[in-house]
Amino acid sequence: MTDEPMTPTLDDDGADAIARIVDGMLASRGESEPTDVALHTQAAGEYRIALALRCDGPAPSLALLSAVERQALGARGRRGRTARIAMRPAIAMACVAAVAIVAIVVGLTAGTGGQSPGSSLEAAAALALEPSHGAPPAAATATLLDAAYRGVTYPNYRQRFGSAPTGLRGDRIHGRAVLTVYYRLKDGARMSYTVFSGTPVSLPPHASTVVFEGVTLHSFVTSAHISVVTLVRHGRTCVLAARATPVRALLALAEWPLTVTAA
Amino acid sequence: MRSFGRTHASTADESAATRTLDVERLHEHVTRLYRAAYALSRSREDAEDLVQETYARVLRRPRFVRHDQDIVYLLRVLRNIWIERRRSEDRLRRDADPGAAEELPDPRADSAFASVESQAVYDAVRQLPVALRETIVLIDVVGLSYKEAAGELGVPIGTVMSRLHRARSSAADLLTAAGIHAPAGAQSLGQGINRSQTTS
Repeated sequence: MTDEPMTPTLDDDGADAIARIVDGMLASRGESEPTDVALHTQAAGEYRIALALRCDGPAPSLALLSAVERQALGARGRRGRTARIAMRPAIAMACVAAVAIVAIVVGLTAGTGGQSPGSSLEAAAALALEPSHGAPPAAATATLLDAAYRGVTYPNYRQRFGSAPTGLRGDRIHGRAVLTVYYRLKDGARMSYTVFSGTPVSLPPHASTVVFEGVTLHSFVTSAHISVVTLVRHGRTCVLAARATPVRALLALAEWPLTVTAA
Repeated sequence: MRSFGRTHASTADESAATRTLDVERLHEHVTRLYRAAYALSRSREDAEDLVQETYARVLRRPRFVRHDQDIVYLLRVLRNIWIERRRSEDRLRRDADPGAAEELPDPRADSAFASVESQAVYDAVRQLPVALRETIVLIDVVGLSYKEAAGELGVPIGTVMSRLHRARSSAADLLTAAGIHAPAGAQSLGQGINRSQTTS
């Protein structure tokens, strides 16, 4: 290391001791304090710094989050191709056989519905219970947030519904990239608003349908008691989900951006 | 330039259990990595560029890690890129103006912070000498243990602890010198400091 530290106020043993004291304070969230006054003052200053760095900090921009997601997406695609090229003949033969078997099974089950068509939507609904990974987007206008994914701009519910955005996260569901913005509803419930990349996602058979302003909304409740409303905006499937929240409340939130746009 | 300071961490037990980096979950580290980049570099733009370059390098081909957490690996790559860039900038600066001092961090207000206190602390950290800055970033921003930080920096644990003390202490002095005092009530430790997390 090139730069050596500023003039130290303590020798190395003293420095270690202070570092340990601050560690103890961080572990006890400030409950344990040194009794020595000089140590107290020194440790208090350092504790303030450590706590601020650990508990807060600048949030990455949405552009950075999207760029990282794109890079990861590209890497996954490349790795898939590399794996295919590198496959040994014997493994390839085994795979061909496996694919043939799968094709037969799919052929057999196609008539009876095959695998659960609503599974992607249920996975998206489950994101309502997951933590966010990024800071909430800022408001762009009274009705829209400064966040968009695949042409869909996330609504700003603060003014009309008293619901503020609280964070965001990116995921992949059954191979599709999705971006979720979280909101805190007026009653304290947490709602996720997820936008899928790609073409619209299949609906579960038990979803009910409402047509509003010419747009079809679908709703259902998952086995984990998550209320779900889905709609298609600009060709993308959007999923609003919140636990222990009436479907009616989510329908109103789903409908509102369409009403505003139509007005 | 790839392997920085693994001298203290390379022990016999490390030879076991390698695994591929979990590409599916790498994006979960963006926030911590960005904060580290922000504290190390001079501007938001530099920090974003560092993070993007880190992911680009890591994702270019399959990577294998041993006992490290993914964040440790990502941080090592980020730090290598940062060191490479700093050296190259230093060379350019020396060629252009041998007497030029290191540029100071960009003091522009940054709306991405949840609190003024936090922004002031990050600004103070960015003014620290490199050795102190790296240490406080590894431990307080990224959350490495002393042992992990010692391995990454290639110094003994005792040095990490004394640098950490000096870094925190110097940052606290810079805050005081800038007239930013702890919020009312924070004299009693643990109170008044903004503890809010940016994620819900």
